[in-house]
Amino acid sequence: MPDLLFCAKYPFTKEAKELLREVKLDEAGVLLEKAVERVNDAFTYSASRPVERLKLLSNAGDKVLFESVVSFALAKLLVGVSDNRLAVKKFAEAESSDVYYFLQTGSEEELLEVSRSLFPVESKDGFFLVRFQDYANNVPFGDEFKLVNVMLSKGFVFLDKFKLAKLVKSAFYNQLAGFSVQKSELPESIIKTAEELFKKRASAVDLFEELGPVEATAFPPCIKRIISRLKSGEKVDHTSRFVLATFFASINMPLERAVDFFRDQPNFNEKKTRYYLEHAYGEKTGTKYRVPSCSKIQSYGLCYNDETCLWKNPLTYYKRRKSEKVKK
Amino acid sequence: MSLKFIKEKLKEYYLRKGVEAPPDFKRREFGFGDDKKIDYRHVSFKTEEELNRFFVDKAPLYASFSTAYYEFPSKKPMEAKGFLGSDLVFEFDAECNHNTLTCEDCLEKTKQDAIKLIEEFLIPDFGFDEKELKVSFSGNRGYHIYVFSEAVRHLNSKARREMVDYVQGNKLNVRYILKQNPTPDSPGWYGRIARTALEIAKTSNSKAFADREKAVKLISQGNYSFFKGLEGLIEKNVVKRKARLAADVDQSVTLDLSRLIRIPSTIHGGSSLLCTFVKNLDSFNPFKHAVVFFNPPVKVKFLADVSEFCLKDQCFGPFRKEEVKELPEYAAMFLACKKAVEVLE
Repeated sequence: MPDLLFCAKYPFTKEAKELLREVKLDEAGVLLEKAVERVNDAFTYSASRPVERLKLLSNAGDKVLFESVVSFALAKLLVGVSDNRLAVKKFAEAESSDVYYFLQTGSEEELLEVSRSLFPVESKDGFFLVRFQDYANNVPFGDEFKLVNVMLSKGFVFLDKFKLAKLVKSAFYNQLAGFSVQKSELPESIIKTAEELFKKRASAVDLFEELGPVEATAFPPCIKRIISRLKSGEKVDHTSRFVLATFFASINMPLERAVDFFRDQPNFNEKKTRYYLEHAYGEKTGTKYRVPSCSKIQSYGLCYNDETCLWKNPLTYYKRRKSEKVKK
Repeated sequence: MSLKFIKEKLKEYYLRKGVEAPPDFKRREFGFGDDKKIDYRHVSFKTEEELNRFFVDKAPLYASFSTAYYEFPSKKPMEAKGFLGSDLVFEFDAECNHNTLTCEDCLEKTKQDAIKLIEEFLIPDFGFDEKELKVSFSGNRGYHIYVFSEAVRHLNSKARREMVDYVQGNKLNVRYILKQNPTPDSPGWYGRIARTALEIAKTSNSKAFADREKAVKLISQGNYSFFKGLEGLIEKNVVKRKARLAADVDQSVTLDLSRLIRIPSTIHGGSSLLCTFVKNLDSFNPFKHAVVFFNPPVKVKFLADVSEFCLKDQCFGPFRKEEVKELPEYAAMFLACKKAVEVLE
């Protein structure tokens, strides 16, 4: 008999997946409501949620524990089929935060077992050894987690219990954030539920269509960084300048003001800068360049995302953050 | 005239020597150019013969291949290619402001940087096997270090950023690391920092090391709390020595997953030197070992003043603008590719 409490706490482990093999998706309909609740819950996440959940699960009977595993799997499908980036990120953040809390309160054996369902881990001299590529692909947020600040030897990073738990959180987060599923793979009931759920969600978070006057505090971190590099007089590469120019064009920053951002460049040439910006703004050809997506910016090596980055495109970031500020 | 001459010589070379297809070339994208480094891209080859025929046919001045592997390497746009993974590549480029076409000193420094990356980071810290690492001379100003390993193909761009930050020592938090009590034989940056501390304990006149013997002993044991302000002092020294401790890679190549870089075993059209994998890095001298053309004399007219330069152990010049000279083919090729001469016959 599998350890149901373990499976409910860590629904991504091999044991939990084993449990799910018995479940038929179209018969799980009754639990869809619970799954919807779980997704909605992610949007109103609070620090007390994992505490309450752990209490609840620890006192729960087998049926409730089993249902918790199934509702996670269904919620993951609902989010995965939705194509709604915000939901994906919120769900990933909530679920992985719960897991992080459970790991902190659990035993070292539990931590090791859970970690191993995500990547290989060796235990040696009081350290946990993880292959550098598994670590680097999932580096947790924060200075002390950067690869350069952890001990690295012969391809392995040396982690303590606390850091390993953070790595699990981050790896689980990435797994969920990167998950998507095609409609064709799912029964009608799940697709319908997802559509309804996210239709409501979309209208609840009203999109801010008109961009209005420029609100610099709502710029995403990557854009802020390019600006601060320009301001410091550092010679900034072409790609960075391209990203900034297209971003300015997208938010309707007046061209005159956009030029000013480039003034501190050591090789600043007003005529060239203006010509170049006019191109990005589409004043030469009639085609406005679109600001590159987050994944493109990431591949340029210019992404400096932090916990505020919940979207796929810097422009969406700007729109949402700006509308939040306006509402305030 | 020069371009025709260069292309003829390239054709002859590719007929004579051929091009070695890069590992897993069928899954890679290729890009070529004569005017620019890349005039056209999204090219792919199914066989090594096809690739070789292309080179003999077109003799491109610049030839690059993707570090990435794709399901459909010739499809456009990039998203349609179906990204499968990417090699890990580090680039070192010589920053040379000297008034010479063949700056051996700058290229030698660049080579030493490459050796440092391999010997101090890639092997001991990242645990790569020497067999997985290949170094190529880019054919012009730098070196590329390839990690051909299954372990790195699926590193995402964030992970590659972490690796670049690691070798460059970016965001290094010295105070945090000192709190972990590193000793001089600790691995990676932990050891580098502890050894720096030990070095200053042995040489500095700071009050922290008034009892030098004791300070050296404590640091060797990973104790940094015996003097208030010691951590700050060490931090300052690590920052000061960063250039010596870190490896100065050109980060854009490592970070860009859809980058095209020069194909080893092809000629660099900006220099006429061979881009080639280097077996023995220590003894490699690009101005000797990457010169592949021959001796028959070629008449050229100089388009600019050219100071003395040396190729294949022979030195030429200086030359004045407008001067007409006969030079061995390999020197004429070199100058023509550098756009310093016009080939006359």
